[in-house]
Amino acid sequence: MTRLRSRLRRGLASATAAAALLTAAACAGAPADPDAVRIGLLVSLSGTYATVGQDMQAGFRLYLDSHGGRLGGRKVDLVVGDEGDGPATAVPAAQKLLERDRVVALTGLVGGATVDKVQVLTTARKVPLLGANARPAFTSEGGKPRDLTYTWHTSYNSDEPGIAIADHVKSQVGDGAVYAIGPDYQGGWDELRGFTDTFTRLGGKLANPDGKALFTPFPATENFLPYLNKAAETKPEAVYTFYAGAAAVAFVKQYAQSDLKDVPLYAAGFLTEGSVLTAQGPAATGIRNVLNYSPTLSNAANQAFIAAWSAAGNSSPPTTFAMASYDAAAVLDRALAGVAGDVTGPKLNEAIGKVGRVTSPRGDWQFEPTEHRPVQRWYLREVRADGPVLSNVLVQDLTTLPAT
Amino acid sequence: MTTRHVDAVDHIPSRRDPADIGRAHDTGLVATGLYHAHQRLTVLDLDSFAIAPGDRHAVIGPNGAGKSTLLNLLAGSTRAQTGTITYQGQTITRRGAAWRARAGIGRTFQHPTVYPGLTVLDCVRMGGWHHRRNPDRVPLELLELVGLTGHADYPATTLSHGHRRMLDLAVALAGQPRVLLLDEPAAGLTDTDLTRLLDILGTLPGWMAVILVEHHMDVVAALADWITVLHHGRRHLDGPADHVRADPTVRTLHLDSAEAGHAARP
Amino acid sequence: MTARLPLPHRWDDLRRWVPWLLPLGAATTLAAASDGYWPATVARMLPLALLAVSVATVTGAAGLPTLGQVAPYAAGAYTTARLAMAGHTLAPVHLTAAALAGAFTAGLLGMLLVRHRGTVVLMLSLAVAELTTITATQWRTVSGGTDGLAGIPAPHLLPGTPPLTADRPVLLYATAVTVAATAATMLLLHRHHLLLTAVRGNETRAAASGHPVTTYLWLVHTGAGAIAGTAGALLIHTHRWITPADVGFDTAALALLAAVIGGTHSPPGAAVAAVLVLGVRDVAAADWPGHAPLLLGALFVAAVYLLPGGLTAALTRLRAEIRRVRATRRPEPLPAASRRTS
Repeated sequence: MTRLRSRLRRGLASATAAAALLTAAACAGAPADPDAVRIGLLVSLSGTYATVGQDMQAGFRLYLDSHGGRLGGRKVDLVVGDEGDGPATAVPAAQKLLERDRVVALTGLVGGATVDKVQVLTTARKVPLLGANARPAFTSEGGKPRDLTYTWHTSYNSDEPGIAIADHVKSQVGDGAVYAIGPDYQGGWDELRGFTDTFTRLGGKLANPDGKALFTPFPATENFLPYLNKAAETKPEAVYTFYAGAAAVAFVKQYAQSDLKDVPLYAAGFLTEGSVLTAQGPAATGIRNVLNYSPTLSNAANQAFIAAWSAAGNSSPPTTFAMASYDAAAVLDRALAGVAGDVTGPKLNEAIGKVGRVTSPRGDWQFEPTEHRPVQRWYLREVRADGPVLSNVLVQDLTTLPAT
Repeated sequence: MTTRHVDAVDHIPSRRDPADIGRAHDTGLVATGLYHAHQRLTVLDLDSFAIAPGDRHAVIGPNGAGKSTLLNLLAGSTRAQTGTITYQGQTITRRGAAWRARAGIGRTFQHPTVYPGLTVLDCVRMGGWHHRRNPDRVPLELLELVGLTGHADYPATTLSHGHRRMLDLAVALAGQPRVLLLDEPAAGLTDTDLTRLLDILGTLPGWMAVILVEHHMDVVAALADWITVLHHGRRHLDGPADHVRADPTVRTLHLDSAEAGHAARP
Repeated sequence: MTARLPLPHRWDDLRRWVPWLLPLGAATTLAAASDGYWPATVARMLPLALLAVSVATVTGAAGLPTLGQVAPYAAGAYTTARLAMAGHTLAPVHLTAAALAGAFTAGLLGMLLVRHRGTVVLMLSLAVAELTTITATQWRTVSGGTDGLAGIPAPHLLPGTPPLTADRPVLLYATAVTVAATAATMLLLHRHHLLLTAVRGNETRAAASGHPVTTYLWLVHTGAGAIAGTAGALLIHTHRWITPADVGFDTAALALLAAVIGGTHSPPGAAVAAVLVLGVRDVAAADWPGHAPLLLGALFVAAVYLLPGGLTAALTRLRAEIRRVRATRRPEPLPAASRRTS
């Protein structure tokens, strides 16, 4: 009996090994439709950022599906890759999209670290990178500043939300101090730096004991109460913060229970954007936050976008992540229409540069000519009931960034 | 020389000749003021213990008398809570077992374990590596001494209990010890193995000091020239071997320990 | 002398050299492949393969299961990165400096780790892995913060040679370094095989015979640190970017699992298993985006259930089985013509 079982085991082991090898061998690249244009979408489909990644994929596909699977009149073959949690998984996935699938454009990219590494690859291969989420500060490459010829973003710079709201917060608190708190990683540092630099330049004071923003361990912190109660001791006039994902849910819920619950909370819009708002519930009511989009914007493009979004079966309103990916598809639509003959990376890149003013659910915007990112309006929103659900309702326009 | 035995709690002084103790201080192993307690229970309380080169010193007593503790303290595998241990005039109280072994204090174990994964020959080789590689003939000679030549290339784990004791002895001897601590080497041996053990112990060089912890009185009789009797961690009695063996209180203590599980003496 | 038990590796047997040539041959074949994807992908797996060798050395030879080899790995990687960015781009310099940095780090940490055994070591080494990530995150001048460093200049093999940027030369170089480092490890472990087996098997008896057990384990740990440091240099040479996440718990766990799958007493097995693990995660799962963690989990469960003792134990069982089958087969009678006349 044991001999039979051990033979069975060995048989299973060899079968598993063979299956694994066959799978690998089968990854010789899917057969290509010679007329289709291959676009790569690299987003997080597993790990911490999975919800953002899925949002981005939904936004891109919405545009594609509502245009019959065609961009610029050409059939599009969308190849999706999993970015995972960071460059360790994202770079191999990007390599596969670039080398094996030979995509002519790469879009998506949730994390800043991923963009930082993948950008080197796409620039070397002369394939346009059309990022739709994080945009890092791009550290210099071997002593020289980064070559941004092939790098485009339809989203924002990480410090822009803070820069946009600083003036409004200053006008609200007057001479009072503001407590700044955020997560301890590059994204957190950038977001808070945008606020604290601008706020202090306008004459504002930070309530933090050493005059610098407080950073909580990331991603480990789940209990913010000790930090919040300590912040309450400094008696701030208001609190400014940035958090995203699960940390945002915990932060908002615990804020409503802490000694700070009566202190006005200002935030970068990610704090209450998307599924996190559903999880936060009434605890989020009244949070004033800044973002480049609100579902309650009244322009025609947004109304069409919202209609298509709910028609596609999505129960909650679209997020800025979905919207940025939607716009990336729109940019590619216009760019591809401007390419004559075979689509190559350099030709597509040139066409993206000529796209001009983009009509978008966020309002119209265009690419900043050297930095290749949107010059767009930033909005002040407040979490309020919008019908039966909570939503980030538009309060007022704040400013246009980057300032010209 | 008469032997003394007292039931008081005071430390019974050793009957060693002061000249012998002086010799031990310079060339042998001396322990003073040893006190070892385990969870408030006194396990060992010995004011002095000395052994010089060439001595054959047995330590006997009922179970729980502190014999193994004494051996572990001398070998360095148990750290002394109080007291001083010197070897050849140098204080070694803080030194660990490996250091003492390299200095010349070897031992066998009460429950002989072998090196799993090694052959019998390799086990003996491992006993002597710190002395710059022994030529192969030394381990082979030792195996012949303990009667395991036929088992040389077999895994050590295949040995019977009696053979494991022999192997443990060979491993200890491979380290070329000057002081050899034997922890109940005769326990569980068949008569044949016992004869062999006595033969081996008889061939030990004259310059080697041997401390023998043992229950088996035949082995003690064959080897020891001095016996210390421990009882409840203290020295009950000590003196030349034949006198101690003849002492009636020792006989009773010994009977108690030899008859495992019996009730109090009549 | 009667017949000896076979030792794990007999270097006088020429057949033993074949397994070392196989990876070099495989690498050469891949480098000659027309599809540029494979050289780049496999080259990127080799730093983890060498890290797995280091982990298998400590876990197997020293008997201390460890997640802490990412500390010397990080030391080697950041040393290389900083040297390259400062303009010193000679590969041999990087490899030497990284190995020294790794050995130094492992030597320091080893003074704490080798005093403990079993689960305690594993827990302490977990703390080391977490501290490595935290240090890398906070020490922004060296590591560039959480986003890390990118665009690190490529190394030169020798002064005057072109930089190693193309995927195929990088694959050949990385394979050569990995094979050489693993071979050196196996050579040293083989020389002291008896000692290490004894110390692992019965520490008390070894100490009672005079062996400084803690010192031996510390030496193994430090040597493995040099290997991990070299793996860190390879990380920079093959990726030319690095983030603190690359030297954290995830990497340590992958390396330990590769060591377990490959057979903890076989560093080369651990290297092969690491390539297999990353192959499943990055290659096999690429056509099934979002499900890499599921596939990895299935692989680990399969390995533990179907291959107890790892790949190398399975290979040994297979070889023994073949030998047994051969032995039971009766020899065929010779044909009449070739029967010798006495």
